[in-house]
Amino acid sequence: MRSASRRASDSLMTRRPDGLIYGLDDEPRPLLLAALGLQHFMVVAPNLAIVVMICRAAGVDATTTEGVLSFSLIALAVATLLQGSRRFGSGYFIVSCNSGIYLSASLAAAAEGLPVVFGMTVLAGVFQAFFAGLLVRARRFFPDEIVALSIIIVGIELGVIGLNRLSGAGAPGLMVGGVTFFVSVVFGVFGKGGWRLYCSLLGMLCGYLLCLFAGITGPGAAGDAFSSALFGLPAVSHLGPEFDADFALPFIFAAIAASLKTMGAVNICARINDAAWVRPEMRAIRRGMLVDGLSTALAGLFGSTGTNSSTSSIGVSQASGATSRVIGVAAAAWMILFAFSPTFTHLVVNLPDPVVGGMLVFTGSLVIANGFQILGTVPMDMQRAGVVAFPLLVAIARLANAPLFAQLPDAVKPLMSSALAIGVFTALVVNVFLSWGKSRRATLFLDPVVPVGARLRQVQKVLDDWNVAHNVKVRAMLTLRELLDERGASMKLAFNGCTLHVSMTRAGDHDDKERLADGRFFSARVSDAIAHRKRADGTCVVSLYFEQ
Amino acid sequence: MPIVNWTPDLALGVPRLDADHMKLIDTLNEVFDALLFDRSSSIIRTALATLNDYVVEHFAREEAWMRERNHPDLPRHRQEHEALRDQLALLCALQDMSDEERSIELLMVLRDWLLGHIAHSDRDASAPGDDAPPGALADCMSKQ
Repeated sequence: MRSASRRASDSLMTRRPDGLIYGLDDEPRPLLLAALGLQHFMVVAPNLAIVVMICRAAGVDATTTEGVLSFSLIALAVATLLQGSRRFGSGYFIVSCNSGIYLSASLAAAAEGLPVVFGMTVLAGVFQAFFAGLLVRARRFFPDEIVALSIIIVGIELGVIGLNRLSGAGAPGLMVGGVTFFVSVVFGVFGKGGWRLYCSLLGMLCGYLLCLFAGITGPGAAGDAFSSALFGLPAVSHLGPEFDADFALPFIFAAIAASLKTMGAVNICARINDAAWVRPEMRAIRRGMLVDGLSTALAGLFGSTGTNSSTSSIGVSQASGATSRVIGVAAAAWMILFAFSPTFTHLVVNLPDPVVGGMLVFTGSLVIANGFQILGTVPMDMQRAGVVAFPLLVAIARLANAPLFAQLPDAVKPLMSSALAIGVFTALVVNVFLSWGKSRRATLFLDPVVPVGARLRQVQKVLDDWNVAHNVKVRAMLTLRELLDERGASMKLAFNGCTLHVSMTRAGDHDDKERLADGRFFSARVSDAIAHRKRADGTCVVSLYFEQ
Repeated sequence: MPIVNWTPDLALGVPRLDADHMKLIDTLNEVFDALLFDRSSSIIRTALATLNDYVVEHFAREEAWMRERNHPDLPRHRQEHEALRDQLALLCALQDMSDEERSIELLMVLRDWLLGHIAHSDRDASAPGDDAPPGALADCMSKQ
C-alpha cells in the first residue's frame, strides 16, 4: 500500500551566473533585441549552403532551390520559437539550423529526387520525436560522461570545420579568419556591455571588411540559385514528400545523432544559465529533443531538409552573455523576413569562408570548454575514462578521415559520416560493455545502538566505493541524517550509474508517516523523489531517489 | 544554490531581528552550497565563527527586546538560546569529524533553529498586531 509519494526534482534551485548580461527571462530593449537576433541569424545562416548543396545534387532549377531555402527558413523560425517555449520545447534559447548531420543521407536520397529527401526527412523527424521519450527513459545508458563527450565532439567538429574553411583561401584567408576569431575573443572575454553582446557580430563584421579589402569573395555556391528580387513569395512547386525504404537506415542513424546533439545542446544551455548546475534536466532534454524531431518532420513536410540545434549559436550566447529566450523570437523574425527576401538571403549564405571559419573556431572553442566543465563534474574511474577516451579517439580519427571508415559497409556509412554520431555510438557500446555484470547493490542492517554518525559512515563508504558523484552522495547523506532514527531497521542501496535508490525499512507505527513528514525539511528539497509505503507486517518502507 | 529563500512571509516585523534571521538563512545556504560543490573545508570554519558571533549578538538583541516588553516567555527563550549555544559549541569541539560531516550536522542545527526557534518561539514572541498565526513561518518554508 503506497501511502505517500512525491517528486522533488525541482527542489534544487538555479543560480544566475555572474557573467550573464541578459538571462533566460530577461527582455533586452527592442533595438538591442533585433541586433542580437540578427547576430544569431548570421551565425546559422551559412548552414543554408547545406540546403543548396542538396538541391544541386537533386538537379533542380534555381526557382525550386529558392523555394526550398525560403521554406527552410520558415521551418527554422518555427523550430526556434518552439524550442524557446517552456510549454512545448526545452525552454532555452536554442536557434535551429540546417544540420550537416543529415547531409550525407540527404545527398544520397537526392539522387532519387527532392521529394524522397523530404519524405525521408519527415521519417527521421518522427523517429527522433519517438526516440526523445525512449532516450529519457533509458537515461542510465546516457550518463553525464557521454553527454560531456558529445558536447566536446560537437566543439571539435565546429572547430575543425572552421579551420578547414578559413584555410581554403590561402594566407589572406588565414589572416581574415584569425582576425574574425581574435576580435570575437577580445570582445567576448574583455568586452563590457554592448561590446560583449555583439562579440560574434563584430568579429564577422571585421572579417567581412577585411575580405572586401583583400578581395576575398563568398563561395558563390548559392549565388546563382537566387533571383535578384528584394521580396518574393517562395515557390511551392517542390512540395510533396515521397518515401523510399532504402534510405530509412541512414536517416534513422542521422536522427539518433541529431537527438544526441540536441541533448548536448540543452545541457550546455542549462549549464550556462545556471551557476549551480549539477545534473541534466531530463524534462527539458526530452522536450528539446521532441521539438527538434517535430521540427525536422515539419521541415520535410514544408519541403526542406533536416534541422537541428545550433551549438555555434549557443556558443555565441555564452560569449555574449545574452541567453534570453526572447532573443529566439527576434532570430525567428529575421528568419521569416529573410525567407521572403532572396537577395538578402544570398548575402548571408554567401559569407566568405574565412569569416565563417574564424567564427566557427571561436564558438567551437567555447563549446569544447563547456564539455570539459561537465566532464569535470563526473567522478572519474577506469570505466568512465574508457567511455570517454576511446570514443573520443574514434571521433578524432573520423575527423582526420582515417581510411578505416571507407572500408565499412554502405548501410552504416551515414552513421560514420559524422564524428559526433560515430563517437557517441561508440561511447554507448563501450558504456554497456564496461557496465556489464557490475552490480552496485548493498544491504545495510541498522543497529539502533550504533550512533547515527557511524551508520552514515557505513553508507558513505559504500557510495565512495561505487564512485557516486559528490553531489548525489552529500544529498543522500543529508537526507539520511534527517530520516535515520532508532526505528530504522535496514537499508538497501542500489546505483545504476545515474540514479541512486535508497530503500529504508522502518519499524513503523500509526504516526510514522506524520513523524517522517515533520523531518523532511532537507529530504524534500534535495532528493528527486520520495515514496512512503506501509507493509502488511506493520513496517514501512521509505524509498528515496537521487539523480546523478 | 539557495535551498531556503527569505520571503516577506518570514518576517517577524522587527527589522533588526528580521535582518539577523536573513543572515542566518544566508549562512545555511552558503553551508549547503559548499557541501554540494565539495567546498565544505573552505567554508565550515568561517561559518561556525560567524554563527558563534551571531549567537552572542542576536540572542542579546532578542533578549533585550523581550526584556523591554516584559515578555513572559523570556525565561523559556533564554533556555532555548542556551541550548542552541551549547549545540554550536559541541559542533566546534568535536574533533573526529570530517568537514562534510560537520557541515551536515551544522545544517541540521540550523534547520532546527529555523523550524523550531524562529518559526515558533520567535513568532509567538513577535510584536502585537502581527496577525499571522503561529507556525505560518514553518508552513511557508515547507512549501518552498
